[in-house]
Amino acid sequence: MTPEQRDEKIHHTLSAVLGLSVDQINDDTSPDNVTAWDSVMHLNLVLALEEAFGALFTPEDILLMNSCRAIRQVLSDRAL
Amino acid sequence: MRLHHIGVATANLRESIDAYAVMGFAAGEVIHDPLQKVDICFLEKDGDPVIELVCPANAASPVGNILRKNGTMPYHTCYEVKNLEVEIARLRAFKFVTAVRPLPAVAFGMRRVCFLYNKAVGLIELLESAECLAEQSTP
Repeated sequence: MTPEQRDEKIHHTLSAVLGLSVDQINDDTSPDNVTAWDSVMHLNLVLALEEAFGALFTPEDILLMNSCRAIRQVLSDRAL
Repeated sequence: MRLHHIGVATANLRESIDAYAVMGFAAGEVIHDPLQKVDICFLEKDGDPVIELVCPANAASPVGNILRKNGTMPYHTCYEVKNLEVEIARLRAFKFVTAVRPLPAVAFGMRRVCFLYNKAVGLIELLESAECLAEQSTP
């Protein structure tokens, strides 16, 4: 998977879970600017990302994944 | 795994203890857990599941977020398990995500607890059995 394909998959997952259009997703998308992204939605998002990327995230990963940019970094660190 | 208690988030322990007393529940002592950043009180009534009242001890407590969004409400069910690591691994294979790693819990005599989330179940707490803790303590 290329970095572009990975980013597209992240954006589509965020879009589907948070109920936003893909156009509304950018690197800065986070709980600070998306009302729907609360603590429960965050766990739903983590589950959706696990399914999309075939990954198992740690509690430490989950804490770090607090924006679209941070999600990409966590996935990148795992070579996904 | 067996149901151990139902966790109820509350912003005011005393008010909730008094309200549950009206429904026949007797309160134990209030326990402060610095690791979980909460104050806890167990409520018991013959034949009913145990209720665990959980009140944020400070602004950093994650229970504060639950209260801000939903107010006082049941927010987790706790299950006692023989082996925490084995059960976590089993549930991970069924789309449960580990929200909080195993930590010793003051309210359970330093037996470890952890929290997992599943979209179709919600938040659950796993509590290791006393036997498991005793085995770990045995040299």
